[in-house]
Amino acid sequence: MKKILSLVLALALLLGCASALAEGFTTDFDVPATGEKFVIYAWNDEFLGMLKNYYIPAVGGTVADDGTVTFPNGDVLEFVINPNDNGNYQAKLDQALQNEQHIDLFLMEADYALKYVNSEYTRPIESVGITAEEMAGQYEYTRQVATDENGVIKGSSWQAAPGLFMYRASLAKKYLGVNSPEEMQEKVKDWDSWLATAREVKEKSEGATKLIPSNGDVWQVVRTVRSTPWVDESLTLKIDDQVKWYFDFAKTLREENLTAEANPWSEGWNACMGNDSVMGLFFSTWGIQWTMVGNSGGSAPGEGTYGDWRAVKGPQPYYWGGTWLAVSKFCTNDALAADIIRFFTTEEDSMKYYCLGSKDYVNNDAAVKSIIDDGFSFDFLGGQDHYSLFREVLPLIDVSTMSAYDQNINSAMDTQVNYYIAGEKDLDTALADFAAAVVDLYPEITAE
Amino acid sequence: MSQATQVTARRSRLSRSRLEKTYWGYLFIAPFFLVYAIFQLYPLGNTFYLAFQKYMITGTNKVIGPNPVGFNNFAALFKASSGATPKVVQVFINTGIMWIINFIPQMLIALLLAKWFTDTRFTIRGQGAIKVMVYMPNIITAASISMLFYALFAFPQGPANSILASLGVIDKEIYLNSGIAATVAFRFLEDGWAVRLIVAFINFWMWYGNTMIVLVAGILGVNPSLFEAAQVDGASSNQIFHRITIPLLRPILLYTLVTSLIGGMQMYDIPAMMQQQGSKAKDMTQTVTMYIQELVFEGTKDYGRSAAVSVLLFLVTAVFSVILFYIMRDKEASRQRKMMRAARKEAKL
Repeated sequence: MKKILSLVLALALLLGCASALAEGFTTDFDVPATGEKFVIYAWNDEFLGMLKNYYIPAVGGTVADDGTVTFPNGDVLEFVINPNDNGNYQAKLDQALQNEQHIDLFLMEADYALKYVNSEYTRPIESVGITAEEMAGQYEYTRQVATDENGVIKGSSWQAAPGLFMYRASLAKKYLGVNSPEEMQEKVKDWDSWLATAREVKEKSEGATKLIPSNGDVWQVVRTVRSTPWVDESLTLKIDDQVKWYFDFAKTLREENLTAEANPWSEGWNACMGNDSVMGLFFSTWGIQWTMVGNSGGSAPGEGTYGDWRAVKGPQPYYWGGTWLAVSKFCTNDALAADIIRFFTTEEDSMKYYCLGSKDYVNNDAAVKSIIDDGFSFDFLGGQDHYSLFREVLPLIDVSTMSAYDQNINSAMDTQVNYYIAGEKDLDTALADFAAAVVDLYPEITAE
Repeated sequence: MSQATQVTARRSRLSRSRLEKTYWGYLFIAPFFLVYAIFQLYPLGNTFYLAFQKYMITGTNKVIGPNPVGFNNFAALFKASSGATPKVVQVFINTGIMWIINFIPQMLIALLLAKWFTDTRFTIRGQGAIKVMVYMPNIITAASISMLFYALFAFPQGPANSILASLGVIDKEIYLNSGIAATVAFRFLEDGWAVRLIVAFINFWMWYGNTMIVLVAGILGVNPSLFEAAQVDGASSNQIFHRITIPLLRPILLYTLVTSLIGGMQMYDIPAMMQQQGSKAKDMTQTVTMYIQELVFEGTKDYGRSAAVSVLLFLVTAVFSVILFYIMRDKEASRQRKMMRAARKEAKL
């Protein structure tokens, strides 16, 4: 309870800072009133917070005490949240779209963006009047993800999500004798060194501290560096060598007890960012400013683990997540949809302003570069400029293995990994059962 | 006009006015049948229809069907890779096991409590309070109780593991060191049998009070003179229970068994809430209704196969109910009926 409370307080403080900043930026709002509600579908309140703290103050709208958001032209926002557990968000969104319900914008994650991009339920971004030139400032890979089979862009992201390896400076000094991010990078530069470091941390701390919360965190990296997507053009399931490598790597971690066994997004996992049970974490842009800061148990250097984290590139360049805005087929207010998309995803000034306030990594290289040039540092990371590291990782991101089926297939794989690392199944059985589970979920897919 | 026609005319006038009166009655009960037809009968029929159709929305949002395919959906469900149990069979086994390990103790404890609460020889003090306490878990929603147990059996530092540590079952020294608790703590929610037992226990704990109250009502419905007569004849409390209470309770027992079976086969919320993401316990704790839900809401939306599982669930429940009716039938009464019939036949000869 205390933890939840402190998390809420931390977020409130963050948002409080943000809204104080908001007074500094305004932009024109030139959208005629329609008298209809503007409906957005999402799985959490992150984007709602962005609208309330950045967009609405900048365009001169109002946020009532009861949370009602009104645009300057009098139109009201309806923000529908369906939490994402067990694919619930997709199920609710699919239902609404199939029933032709009025949705103007909806949010999609990397895991299943292609499912909507390749469907008739999303409209080309150009159809609301945003040109390809306007989107040219975005990172290449974010446009690639939102491009459908015919080469039409049907989604626009406000963030890029390159990932880094974060570690606790004080624990690294204590157990590894590491004094700088450069030295640390040397210790985790590839998976062999990373594994050796994991063993060293466990030994030196006598098991009190582990390098990583769980094997699931390693998968967040490995899944993006596979050589083939889960499903190829002929709808055949492909299990490549990286997947098999991951099964064995996870087994080593379990057998040698090298993780804290706190699975991603579990309560224990959130907690370990605020105590000394875990020394490192793979995370991407949004994960640092949104999840890690919230779980650090503080909001200024010296409080909790705030300020003790450092970032390095880690064993492999990867990305994790990212959110795309899509215009629904049943959108009735093109002008407002376009204005919101422009504000967060194509206009350098507003994106720079959002970036400075939130520490999110915006999807506009020019904005990010000007922030770095102005001298950027983040006190959560001990004053480190991690944006420069992100900019180094970004060109290496490869989204060719992304498929529409990722979320459900990844979770089916997770179950079999758990069998394998517990020693209850051998690799062949685990992989065969995994294939069977996938075919059961998606009858149109055939196993190899 | 003959007298006969006059009589029929009067009679028809009478029946018309009766019809006019009953017309209002029909009108008043119509809403129920209307609602029943829309929300129960139509979906029921539609499920049977869909079970024989190929109808799905694929992972890339493409709609296929509905096209009639005969028994293909059922065939697909029972097709499994060599040696493995088809998933549909597995989910029926899971549901059955979790129902049985909840039902047997539930029935025994409920019977015992019912016997104590209705015994005429001695009275338990504070009966009302005990009955309320026993019934209490049934008032809380199943989801909340599941969340509670989910937290109790958390890994590595849930209360269950803490208790095991303080009892010395797992190494206390290692356990208290937060970073390495994972070495010794027990992964309850990843162990199929542990989750099965937890789910069965929750079901037992929630429903034994309810069953007890039904049984108490059944026992109180038995003619007290029978008990008195037995007592006068010197029967012991146990004898009365076995020779009088249980046989006369048979219809109530049958009722509890069948309703519990139907409820048990549809078990959903408790096992669904106990699923940890990626847990390997899922294969052993997924119930039939959870599988129906998975087929429609996870991955490809396969309405055909999902409806086929629903039809199977209906058939299995029906068959088991009939079997229960057969086993629990009044053997004495049916034997007597047979003898009577035989005697009548003989008399005719």
